[in-house]
Amino acid sequence: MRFQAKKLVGGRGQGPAMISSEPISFLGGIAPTTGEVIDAHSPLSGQNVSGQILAFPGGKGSTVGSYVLYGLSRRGRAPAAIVVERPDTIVTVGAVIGKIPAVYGMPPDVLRDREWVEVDADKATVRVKDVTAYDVVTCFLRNRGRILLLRRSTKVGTFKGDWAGVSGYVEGDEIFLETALKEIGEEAGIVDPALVSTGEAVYARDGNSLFIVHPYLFDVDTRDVRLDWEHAEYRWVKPGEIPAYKGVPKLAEAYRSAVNGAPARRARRA
Amino acid sequence: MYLTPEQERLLEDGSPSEQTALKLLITLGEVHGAGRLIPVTWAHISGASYLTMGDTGLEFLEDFCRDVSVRVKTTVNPVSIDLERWHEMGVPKQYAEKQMRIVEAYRRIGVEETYSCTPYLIGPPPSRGEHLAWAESSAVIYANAVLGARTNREGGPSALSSAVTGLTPEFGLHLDENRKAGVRVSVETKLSGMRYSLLGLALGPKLDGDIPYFRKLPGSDEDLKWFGAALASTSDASLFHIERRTPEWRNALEGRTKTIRVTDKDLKEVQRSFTTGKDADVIGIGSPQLSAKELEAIAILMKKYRPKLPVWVFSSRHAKSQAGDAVKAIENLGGRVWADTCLEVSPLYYLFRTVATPSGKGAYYLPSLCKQKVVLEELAKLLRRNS
Repeated sequence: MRFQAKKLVGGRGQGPAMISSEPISFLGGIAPTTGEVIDAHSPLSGQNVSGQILAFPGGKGSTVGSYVLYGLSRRGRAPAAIVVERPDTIVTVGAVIGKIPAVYGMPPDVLRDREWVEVDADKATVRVKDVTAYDVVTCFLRNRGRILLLRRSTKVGTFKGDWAGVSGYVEGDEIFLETALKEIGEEAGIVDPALVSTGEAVYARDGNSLFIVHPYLFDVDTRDVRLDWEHAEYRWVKPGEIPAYKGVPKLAEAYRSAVNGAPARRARRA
Repeated sequence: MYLTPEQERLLEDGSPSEQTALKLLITLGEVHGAGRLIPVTWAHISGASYLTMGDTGLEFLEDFCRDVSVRVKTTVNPVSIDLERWHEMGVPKQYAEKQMRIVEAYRRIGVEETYSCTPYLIGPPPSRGEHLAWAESSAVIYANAVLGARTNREGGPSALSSAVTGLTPEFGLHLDENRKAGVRVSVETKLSGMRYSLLGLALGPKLDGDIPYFRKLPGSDEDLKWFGAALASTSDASLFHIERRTPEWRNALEGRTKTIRVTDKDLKEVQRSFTTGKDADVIGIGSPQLSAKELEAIAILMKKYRPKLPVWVFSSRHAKSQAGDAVKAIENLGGRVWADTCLEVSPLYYLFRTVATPSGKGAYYLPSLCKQKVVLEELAKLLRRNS
């Protein structure tokens, strides 16, 4: 997998991933001379960030935290590279003055703790050798306020028995929306859905696969669904009920992203 | 981001610290979608107090200041002690020495030794439309709102980078379209004195990132200073507009906006919630530093009430020199008028546990920065209560 992130500070670094699902407070959180995580509330408490690929959502706490990254770098104790989801001022300034290779725009849960990661910040890529990335679409069909969920059959290759939207791999050089329309026809037997909005991609890591999920919301004028072999049953549910279903990874996030996504230009429905 | 040939050259041939400074501005600009760097006329740096910088900050600063000097007018925020009278503040010598090293680093690169959070009161203030790179949130909001100058809310390192390059990335409040009001505020109670601070504290959490517009907000420039400082503490607001009062009010409103109401009940509630202590052992007045005019007003109040509690007053060396008689009067009545430092970065905790103050910004920061309990109250009431 070669993940395309965005460049924050140039350079290259490789090492084992160290993942924090929580924002990191650098001042008082990491010892500026050793790199040890001294914040007792941090999920990384007691570990050492030196030489690691530090992946986390963002910084928090005092802006003086930038100087901690500088102090580490000065002593050769800095992380090998930083992978931050949201580049706040603390982390941005710290990476620049500490000259630590850094990229942003990648959620930390794309990586797994301790796997070997290569960051090329000049190209803004994050590479993990044994992981393969797949583009998939997931379509939420809406009819009178209810959303269609499908339960995956036992014949499919992945996530057997889990609930999902209409979804499928993007094949060859298909454009994503093309895949979406094709899958809606095949999996639900519905034609002429009206695109409402397109969400930002959501990332779901499963073992050595990374699914880059492209979410869509469509309005449809029927609740008649014709399933194919890929699904065992379907339900029209209220949006608030989605998280209660045992779904494929990131199902609820994908729905949220679709609903809050970029609105489609004028629906083509009459 | 587009760089001019001159900027490209600086990026390649500048001293190591100049290169770092320029890289920092470019990176921050790119993250925020800025298309270019624009010149600034004035940088105001925060990150001067050893209390907040600590050893990690001091280390960076000494390294950085080795091979640069400022290219534009540069002022600096308060430090953690009165540089002439720190012996009287209960501060250990090692602490003062660390602070002096920070001062020395800034001196070396040519920073004007203002040690003030009210740089707009020292010499001619910036003009309307002038681009600045200011840190210190209370000064930023004052410059944007009351003076109509343009600055984002910089941090210490970005303001320092602007000082040594004369540049800032063009985004945020440097651009017309980001200076429009997003919400109307209707103040449904009388305002005076400390209640401007309370208004700021109360309004901040209700703003949700919008720039506020007031149909009516009476009060002096000083009142707006206290209001803005408190507002910038509880929100990321860095601009407000007042009808017929602030420079940009005419074009501030576009289309329909929602209205937030602030009532007497809101003000009483914030006063109660920020009052965490009971019996104060010092009255602290500052945050932001007092103007000469305010020092004179305090001298009059002190003469009237003759408080028995220590009274620590924070001002700039500049304002002190303009109000010599008032300073003398306050000190003769047992007060202390400190310069170079300010309420919430001062070494209060060596001597005190509970501070009584009329400052909303002070009330916001004192518990975390100085480990103080706070009594938030009108100054005249505090002086009378302790007379």
